[in-house]
Amino acid sequence: MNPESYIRPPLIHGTKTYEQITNDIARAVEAKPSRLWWIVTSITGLVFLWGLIAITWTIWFGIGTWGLNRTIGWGWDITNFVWWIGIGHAGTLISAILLLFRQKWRVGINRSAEAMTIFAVICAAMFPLFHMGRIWLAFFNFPYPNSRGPVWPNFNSPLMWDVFAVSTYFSVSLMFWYTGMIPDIATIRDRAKKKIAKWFYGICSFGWVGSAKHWQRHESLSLVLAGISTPLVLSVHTIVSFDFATSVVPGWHTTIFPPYFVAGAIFSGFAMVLTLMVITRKVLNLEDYVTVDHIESMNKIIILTGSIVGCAYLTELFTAWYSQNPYEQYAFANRALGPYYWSYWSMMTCNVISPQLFWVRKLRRNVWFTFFMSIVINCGMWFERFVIIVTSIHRDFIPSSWAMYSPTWVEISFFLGTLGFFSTAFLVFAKLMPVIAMAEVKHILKTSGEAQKKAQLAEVRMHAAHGSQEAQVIPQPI
Amino acid sequence: MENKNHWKGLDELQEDPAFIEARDKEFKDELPVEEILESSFIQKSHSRRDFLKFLGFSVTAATVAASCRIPIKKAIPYVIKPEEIVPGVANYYASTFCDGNDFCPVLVKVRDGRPIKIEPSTSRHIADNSSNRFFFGGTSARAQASVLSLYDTTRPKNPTVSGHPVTKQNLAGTDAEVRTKLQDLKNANGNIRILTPTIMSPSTKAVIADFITMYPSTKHIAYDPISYAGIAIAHEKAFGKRVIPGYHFENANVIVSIGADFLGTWISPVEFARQYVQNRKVSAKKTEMSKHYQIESRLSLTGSNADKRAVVKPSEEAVAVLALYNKLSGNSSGSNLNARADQLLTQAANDLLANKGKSLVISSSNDSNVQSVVAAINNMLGNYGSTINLNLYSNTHQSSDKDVASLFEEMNSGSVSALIVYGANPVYDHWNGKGFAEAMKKVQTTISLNDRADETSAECKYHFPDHHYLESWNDFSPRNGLYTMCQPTIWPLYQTRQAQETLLRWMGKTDDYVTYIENNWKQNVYPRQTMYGDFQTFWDNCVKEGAVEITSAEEPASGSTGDVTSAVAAVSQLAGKSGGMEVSLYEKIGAGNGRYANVPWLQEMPDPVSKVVWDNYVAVSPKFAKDNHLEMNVVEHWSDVVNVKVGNISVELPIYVQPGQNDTSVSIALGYGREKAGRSGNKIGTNVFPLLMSNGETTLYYNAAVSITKANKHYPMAITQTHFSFEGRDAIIETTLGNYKKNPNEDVENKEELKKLWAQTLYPTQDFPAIKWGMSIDLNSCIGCGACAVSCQAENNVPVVGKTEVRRVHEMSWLRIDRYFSFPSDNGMLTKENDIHIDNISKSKVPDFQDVQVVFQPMLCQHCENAPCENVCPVSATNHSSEGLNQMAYNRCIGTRYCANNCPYKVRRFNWLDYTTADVFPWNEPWKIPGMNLENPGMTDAVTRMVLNPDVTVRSRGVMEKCSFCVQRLQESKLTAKKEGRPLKDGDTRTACQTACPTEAIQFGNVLEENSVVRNDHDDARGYYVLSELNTRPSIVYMKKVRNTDEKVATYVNREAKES
Repeated sequence: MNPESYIRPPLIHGTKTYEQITNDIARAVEAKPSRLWWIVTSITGLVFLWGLIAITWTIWFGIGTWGLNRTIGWGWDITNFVWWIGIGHAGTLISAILLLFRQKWRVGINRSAEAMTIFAVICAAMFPLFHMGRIWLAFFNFPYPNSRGPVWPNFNSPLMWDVFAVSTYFSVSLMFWYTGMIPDIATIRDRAKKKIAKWFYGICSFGWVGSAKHWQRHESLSLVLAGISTPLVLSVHTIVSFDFATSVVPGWHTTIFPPYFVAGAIFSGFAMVLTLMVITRKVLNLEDYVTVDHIESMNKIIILTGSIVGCAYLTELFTAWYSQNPYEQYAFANRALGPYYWSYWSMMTCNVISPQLFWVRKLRRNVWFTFFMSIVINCGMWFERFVIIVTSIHRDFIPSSWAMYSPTWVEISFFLGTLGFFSTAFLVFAKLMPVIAMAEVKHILKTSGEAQKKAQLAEVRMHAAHGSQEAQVIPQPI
Repeated sequence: MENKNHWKGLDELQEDPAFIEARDKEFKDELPVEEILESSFIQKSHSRRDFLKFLGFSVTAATVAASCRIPIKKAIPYVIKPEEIVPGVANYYASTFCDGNDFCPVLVKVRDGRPIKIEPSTSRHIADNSSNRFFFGGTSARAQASVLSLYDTTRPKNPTVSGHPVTKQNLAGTDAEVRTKLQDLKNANGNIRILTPTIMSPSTKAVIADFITMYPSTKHIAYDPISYAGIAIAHEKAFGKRVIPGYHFENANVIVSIGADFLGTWISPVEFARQYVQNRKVSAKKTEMSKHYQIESRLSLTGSNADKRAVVKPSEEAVAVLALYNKLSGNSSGSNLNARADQLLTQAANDLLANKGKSLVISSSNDSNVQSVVAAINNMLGNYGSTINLNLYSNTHQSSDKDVASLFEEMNSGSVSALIVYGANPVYDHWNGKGFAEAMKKVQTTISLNDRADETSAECKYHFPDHHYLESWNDFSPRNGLYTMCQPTIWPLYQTRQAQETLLRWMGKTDDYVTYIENNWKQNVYPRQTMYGDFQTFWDNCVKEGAVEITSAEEPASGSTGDVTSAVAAVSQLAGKSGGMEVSLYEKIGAGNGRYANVPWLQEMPDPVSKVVWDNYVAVSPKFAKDNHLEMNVVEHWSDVVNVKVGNISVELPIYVQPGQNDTSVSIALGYGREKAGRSGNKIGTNVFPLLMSNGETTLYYNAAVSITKANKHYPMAITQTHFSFEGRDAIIETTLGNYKKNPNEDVENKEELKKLWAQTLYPTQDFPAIKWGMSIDLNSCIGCGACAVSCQAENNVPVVGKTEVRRVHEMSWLRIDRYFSFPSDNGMLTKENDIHIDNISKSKVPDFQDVQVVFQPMLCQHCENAPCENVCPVSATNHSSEGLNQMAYNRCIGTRYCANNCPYKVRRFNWLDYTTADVFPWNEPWKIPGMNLENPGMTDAVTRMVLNPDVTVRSRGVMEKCSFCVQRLQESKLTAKKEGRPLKDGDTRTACQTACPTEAIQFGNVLEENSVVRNDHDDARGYYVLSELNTRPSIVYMKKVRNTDEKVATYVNREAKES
């Protein structure tokens, strides 16, 4: 790692040693689960179970128990799918793209962001799976050799690409996440006192001993996976956007969708990382590792992606007007002024207007405000998907078939169930595995730790005392 | 020869021991069984790699094994095969659908002994439009649905006495009991009354006549719930003939209908619809069409098809008749009608005078004085003999309201000793039904011969249920000069007996009814024809063909001798009476006068005008709704409930805001609120027969003293189309006759340009080697009656889902009829939702909501050549055939619904729940889902499922379905042609919607075939494709609507505005 300028604020606060870092982070794993943890996990677990009941209900009685109809074939199901898959984008972006851009601040958040990705993709995948009329035939989606003659899936259909895009993304993300965790798991194994923990972490660590060969292989594998997953960040949501863009439906049939969806995905993914990290750093006392600077960096990305999304919305409106296509024009007029106007304006407020507040530095660095905004953005991005899906198809070409849609308890419960699963999974993860990549944090300690910065500063001051030129550029400590 | 030894090699010849050992072993090498069993392979622990191999194999094997579902099939062969039945091949029998006043000669399709479909008659006396006097060659929705009522499990299963079932063994004893009673009455000279609806059957009439001869104190009374006695009385006064004349709309250039819904329900709608369109179809060669004026209070199906329409109150229809009479006779006395109606009548009068003898004026009024004036108008115009035929009069309605009234009096005074009811249900459908039930209690012996355990049968002591018509022999004469046959197509399902046979038994005769009919025809029909030399040939031909025409000498139409002045005076009297709100009471096109309440296909058939299913309602005008703060919420599918009060009778009904409805009156459909209709029909809607009023001579189908008050309640309404305007889009293209005449090739350049644009694609286009199936739908001929939709439902096993599911927008119809409103004004933009919103009524730019134009558009899968649904299906479950069909492989469908989202025409239907119980799990039927409160429409039991077409897959839950162009019929026609060793001809292949259509608006065939009907329509300048700009390249071409009006029509103006 190259030495870093002392002007950059430290990424690890406090004067930490390697041992301290291990202690700080592993503490959460080694301590007994608190009562609060049990209560919260039971609640989220129950919500998850309720979701499972809704899924069983759907399979048992049919999709007719949902509020979908003749005109609106997709509602909350695909809205939630796109929402979750969008959230699942931050993890890989942080792991892969920020790694390639040498953004050291990623190490504080990458582990939990990747975990979030895994759980979000699982939640996302449930929706296209269970929204099928005959889920027991879901394997028809795969190009498997069969005795029915040449019966293959339809390679023209974006839904089939979805199957591959999502499953590839999931498996690569899972590998990346787990590979990164192996050295940390080994650390916990070595520190474990109980036999069962030794055994469990022993298996999970895949026999890691920290030899030079292990580190060398670990590094190369990480690099290879980063290489593979970088295009995936762009491809997954691009393909998800094709689910709409390849159709003829006004409001769906748009070439702007791929970049617009990817930006939206990163936007919502970062919002979700913020939601989780703001809570985690507080609960697990990790403020030294996930600092306000981390939060600020993420907020900056939120302004960027939020603005891209905003531009996309305006471009869509302009295109509709400029095209002079009556169906397209009606679709957008209907979004803004039709019966679902509330979802459109919720989307506009949450996604376009509110992130602009982050131009103010004070707000960007305010943890509570950030937390509030992260929730707002998550809601806004949910509305965006709802607007795109439902308001486009509920009034398309033939007015006789125009209809309205509202979800039933089954769909709502299914969605709540995925939230329950997501929270439960994250809570269990935070209890079993280190939420911050210990090894990687140690990696940057010597370049970006507070002690290192102080030492650098002291050296500069010393030079200044000797009348060096550099004295004029001594910054004020932050 | 036998001893010859063949050897394959020297070692075999020499019987080498090594060879013998090798020969006797199944496998060449030693199988390493021992080795395997003892080896480490079984005994030792395995590597991870092996574990993964086993896991992979077993998961794959389990998946493959689990997905191979083996359907259970039971086939029981005939021990002795009936000669005419070939399993899998349908037989067609000529018969006649006749139920009360509905009449339709049909072919019954029978598969393996089960009638499954009704087709129109192919008899030359009926189907040939060019040379015929009779136009019965179509079907109605009711005729189509009649096959379902056969399998109704709530039909009575045996005769009953005081509600106790009579077994087969005891039937003769019960017959004897009734016979003794009748004999006693005969001896005591006690009055016997037979109450029936109109009897169209000559042989049944003969049976009743015989019965009367045997029991002379008997009187036969005909009673129709919807009476047309006024017309008959008027003609008796004018021409001395108490008949409803035969109308001939095909000869009329100008039609003026005052309130008569002759395309929907009036007298003989199927016949009239076919006559009507003869003069409505236009082409570049024939640019003339009839002009149709309609004055009415509600928006009827006929009014929806009219060129010019004005609204008046129900009571003012008489005024309108009088005003027209005055205008025609040059009497300038002004009417107090609204300006538009008056202006329309002036125009109509001018047109009528210009088309003397080529015009027709009709009125729905049941007041004989009004009808006398109508007769006088037609007489004045010389229409008798050309558009009105007094010789070939109609037999469909022969009742007299006076007779029923006197029966009431007799019964109440206790002078009736026995009442035999056959086919009538006065306890439900008489305005004083309750009173009738009371009066029946004063009759000693009450006998019902109805085929249902209906309200009247329930009041009778004896009930001998009649057969369904598909189980019966019968004959009919709907018009003087036409005789049709009805023959059984299935052995009776239940222990029922033909009513005529029951009467014969009580006369002590043992004949079966078919012999009776044969004898009757031998004496009365056969001698009047000249075509056949011997009776047997004649009879066999009648049964085979189903119809015979008896030509009799035309009597010249005698001039009117009636006293019109007194009628005019009486009508003028009526004219002064109208005061406050009025209600018009009418019959529904589907459920009729209540007779078809228990037929789920008809209950779920959207009303052609309102698109409401499973209910009746108070149709109010938008202005009335606004003034009285009444709301219909089509988004949440409910509407406000109102109290309709007439005298001391009050009923509660939901409202329906109906554009085209008169502001100062409301209208309500009769035929709902049945108490004992059967499983699906009970308690659907509210009975409004008690609101009818009588003028002392006849029943009137409106009431002039109504008060309507808002009840603070909401009522759930199921409406299949909730958006009424076509938003000025090009889905509908209309023009005026004037424009069409000026430039018949108006849109040809557009079409050529379109084809050029269509060709601009990167993708290869599909080749169709021999056939490309296509359809054409003439919007000018389509009257929107809905027969095609019910026919499609019957042919393709389309499920009925029930009211709640329709409210949830889950209806399954493969073919729907879109109905759009527009204004006939110059302001073309007023087709947009925001402009026609009810809140804008007071604004000056919105024209009168009473004055709307309607267009109907049958919408079904367009079988696009470049189908948006096909490329989005992940598993290619929907794909394109080499004959241009967009086909569904149900087995392949996994139910992602993307195809439905991407279908611009929204014609794909998803099986949301297990509507047909096609699944093996009985517990997941929709109506068993906790908390959903879905009603069971009664279509899923084993008996009702006998109506299913075995050629069409019953779709399971989770599968997408849609119109297949009746692919089973296409295959059948190809096979027939192949068997006959000839190429397929145009007209060989007919879809279910096409055959059912009474107006021949739907045509089907091979687009690649030169000079086929569809090919010509596809090339015609009037033809256009819906949403053609999407490059879907539909296989269905719509022929644009031509209105015979000089005013510009909405879309046309809109298109012009866009272009300029």
